[in-house]
Amino acid sequence: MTQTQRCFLLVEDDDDHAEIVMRTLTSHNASRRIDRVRDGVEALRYLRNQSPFEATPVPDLVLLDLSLPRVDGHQVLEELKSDEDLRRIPVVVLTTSSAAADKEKAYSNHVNSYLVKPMDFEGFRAQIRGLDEYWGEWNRVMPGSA
Amino acid sequence: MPLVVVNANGRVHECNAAFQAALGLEDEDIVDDNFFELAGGEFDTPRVRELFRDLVERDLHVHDVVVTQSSERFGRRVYLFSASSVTLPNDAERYLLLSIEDVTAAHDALRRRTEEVEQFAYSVSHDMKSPLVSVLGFVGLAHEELERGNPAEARALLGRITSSAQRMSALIDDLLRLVQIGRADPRDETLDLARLIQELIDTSLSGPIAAARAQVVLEAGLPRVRASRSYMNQTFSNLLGNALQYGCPAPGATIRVGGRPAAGGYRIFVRDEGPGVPEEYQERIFGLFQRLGPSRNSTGIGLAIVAKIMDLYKGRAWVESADGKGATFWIFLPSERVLEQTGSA
Repeated sequence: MTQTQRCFLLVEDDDDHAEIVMRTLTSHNASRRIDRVRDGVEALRYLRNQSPFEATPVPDLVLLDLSLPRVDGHQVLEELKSDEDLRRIPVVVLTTSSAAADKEKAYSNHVNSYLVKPMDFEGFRAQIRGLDEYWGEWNRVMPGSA
Repeated sequence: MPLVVVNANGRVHECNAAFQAALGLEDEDIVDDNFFELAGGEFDTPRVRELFRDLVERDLHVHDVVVTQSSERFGRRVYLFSASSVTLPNDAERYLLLSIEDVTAAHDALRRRTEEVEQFAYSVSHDMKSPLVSVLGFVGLAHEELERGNPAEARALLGRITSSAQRMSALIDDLLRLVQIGRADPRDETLDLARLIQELIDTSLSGPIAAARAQVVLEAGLPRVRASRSYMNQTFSNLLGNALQYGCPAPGATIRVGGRPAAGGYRIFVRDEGPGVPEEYQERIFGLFQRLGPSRNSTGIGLAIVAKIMDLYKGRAWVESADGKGATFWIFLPSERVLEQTGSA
């Protein structure tokens, strides 16, 4: 296989949610690489390859929670999308918030997609599998990315 | 209450001092002036003209109509308008009595309060959903494990479901505590703070202290205060809980509690040896659901409770911290709540 392994970055402070997302993703696709960071500061350091993330790849997708300690998801999105080098990385917001204000703010900051975590597991599993197939298989990454 | 009597053409017949003061016209004689030209035409707006016309032509009385306007002279102002027709003794002419109250401050305070309530409802709905998503997720994963014939994995997930439900319960308890502050009027007692904090250390905090392998040292200078026992318990329980959670990076850490007199009252501190609170977060962490660490370890409500209690007591809560050198959480109690210093802990 010549293609480099595709990688998702999960930005999620809640350990339980992170585990559910990661287990659901890997049970669908065991070879998917998922890196996880716990807050906005770590997310930006990861994406900019700053310590301790010097060796991390450019992710094919950022899965971003909105409610995060220190720097929240909206701020991460804003910084990412106004950064010449990072703005091309697709970002999908994955949140419990269905508030119109959050959606508006995320789309004005050029989010690629906005997903609300469903309150039933079947829905959640379908959502995560759809995500994996679309962003991990169908979507063509930028030339020169990972 | 600012009152003015005008005739059907808008000519001022008389007014009271409050009306003149509201428009900054204390030193002017405004009788016979045109109402719509007063104070640079403050009331010459389509809405006020419409109200005036309704009154003159159709005798429609106006009661507590809110009119918002902006002028160079007064900036943005919100007025409460009421008006009705009046007759004066020995005068055949018809007059209008207008009461025009400047309610800008009350209106803005109410708007801020509404925004706060909206923000509260938003945060609550978001943070309450979070453990529920975990419960449903783990239930789904446990089903999957059972279908795959892994009962041990499924059993482990049941434990996670229990913790998520407990987290939800803690969240609800803390939220109830937060909304109850200031609702009922709790009885003030004379409290020896050193004793109250020692009781917390020996009872509800003994588990967390042992888990963090920390020690809490009460320094001299904690005062006796007049306050609600429940509020003081919540204040110190949350401050110490916070220090145990974030301020004890290694076993053997010491948390110090003490106090000293300050201008107009008394300052009490809880000092930890943790990584500290960077300046940009020092104000934010007293807000609802604002955390510096992962959410599973705290409800994000504790410091908001402390801030609300201090607000109610006309005191203050804040944090001082030099990065990497621990954090000192302070509360200030105004002198009417402080009896005297006990001398030693």
